[in-house]
Amino acid sequence: MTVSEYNQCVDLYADNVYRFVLKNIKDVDKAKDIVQDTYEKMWLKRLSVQAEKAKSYMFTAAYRTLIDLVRREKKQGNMDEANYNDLSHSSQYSDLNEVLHNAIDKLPADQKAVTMLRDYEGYSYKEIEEITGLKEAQVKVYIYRARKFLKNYLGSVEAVI
Amino acid sequence: MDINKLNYELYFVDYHEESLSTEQVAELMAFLEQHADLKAEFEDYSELESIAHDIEFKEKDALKKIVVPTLSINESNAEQYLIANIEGDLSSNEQKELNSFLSANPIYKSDQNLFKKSKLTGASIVFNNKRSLKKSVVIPLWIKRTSQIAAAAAIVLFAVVIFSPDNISYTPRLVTAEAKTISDPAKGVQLEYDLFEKPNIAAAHNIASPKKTLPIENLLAAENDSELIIQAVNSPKEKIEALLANKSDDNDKIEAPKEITTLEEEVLADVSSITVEHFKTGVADRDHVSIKQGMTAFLKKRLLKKDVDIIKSHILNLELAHTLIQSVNKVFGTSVNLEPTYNDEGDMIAYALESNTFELQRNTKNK
Repeated sequence: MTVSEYNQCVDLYADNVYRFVLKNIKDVDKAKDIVQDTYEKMWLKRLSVQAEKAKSYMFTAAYRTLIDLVRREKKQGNMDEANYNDLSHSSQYSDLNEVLHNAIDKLPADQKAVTMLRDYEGYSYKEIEEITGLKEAQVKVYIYRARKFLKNYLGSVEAVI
Repeated sequence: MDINKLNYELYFVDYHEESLSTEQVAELMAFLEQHADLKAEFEDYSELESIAHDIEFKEKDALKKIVVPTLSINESNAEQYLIANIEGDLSSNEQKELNSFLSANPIYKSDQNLFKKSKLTGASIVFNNKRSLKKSVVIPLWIKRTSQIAAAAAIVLFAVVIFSPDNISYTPRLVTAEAKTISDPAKGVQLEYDLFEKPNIAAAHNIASPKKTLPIENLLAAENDSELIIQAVNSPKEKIEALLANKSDDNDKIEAPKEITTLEEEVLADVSSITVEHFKTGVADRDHVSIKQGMTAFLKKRLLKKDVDIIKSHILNLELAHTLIQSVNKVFGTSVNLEPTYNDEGDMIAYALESNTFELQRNTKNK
């Protein structure tokens, strides 16, 4: 990867990586740090990273950093299972998008991450497998579970509103 | 009651006993669609059934109604289908199946809408400090200066080396240098030389008078057909220089030391045809050069097997230039090559500097 290609990756994907990280950890400073760290890793590996694989490489690096951070800080509690009974919510939502993102925050880190990769970046199950290191079937199960939870959460809010 | 691989036999039997409800038949048909491997077994049940009944009403088919293919989507798996739908995991047939299911069961349309809403849409989050992530190729000032100086030095050195006046002589390296002592005890003379390792200490002297030595300048060389004649002369330095510059005349002949009359033939390490003989009375009959020049020309001639003048060679210059360029390549990661071109006589007539980005060719001066 040339310097020019690297800089092009900054223009093309920095927003995506930042959004992915920020939505997962809800901490602007840490999200920026992870983006910086992710790009620094790619810069160091630029000779072995092909330009067309750069986006995937960055999401992989960002995901690993992110998961490490979340696990370290135990912000998400149980990493493997969401509390599917926890449909409690505020009645002060201004729009459905806010409801949805509140619901997303209640998902386990892995489910949240794979759902975001799926929805925001449009990655296939196979691509998410490569990024996260999870099995493709596992990715699918996480996404399906997340969908069920989100649907139930949205349904409960709509019932209240 | 969900049909599965643990209980399907019961369904098969019940089906053929026509004890299944419409819903259960539909469930069984859906199960068979999903487990094609069990269809044969299902058919076997039909055959067993027919064997068991020897009295048969053969027009049963005429009585039967066409079984409309039943949906595999049901209450228990509807959510899976709805999720698969928004994930794009359904085939076109499954899509049609789901649409039919939703038409028949509109209650699931609200679930369908909720699943659709669960899809995250693009957020307007941007990373504002992209400039901090970008890189530019910045060469530190000291490297710039060093490289500029080195490049300039390389060019200057290269030019100097290639076009230098003939002040750098070719030193044949193929000859094993070792000190040689040629002596003639009968005559009481001795010549010592070590032309390649310590060319400046060669000397001829009288055994009987060891203090009388001849410096290297007093050794001269001359070609004699295929031989190189090394001769010792005992004359003042100025006279020898004049001789080599072809400025001597008959009145300025160089005298040989009388005590050195004959030296036995000696062979240098790798050069078998060098003879050393005493320079007797004069130089008019031979074209003399210094011992270093003589050795150089002779060895070069032997190596190239061609007649060449006693001139300085570009070979050493080329080697120096090549080494220099290699050093520059190593330090700066460049890939410049120096490619000489020789004529049929073995003389370099041109050279080229080549790299991925440029090629410079130049003819050498014909000296």
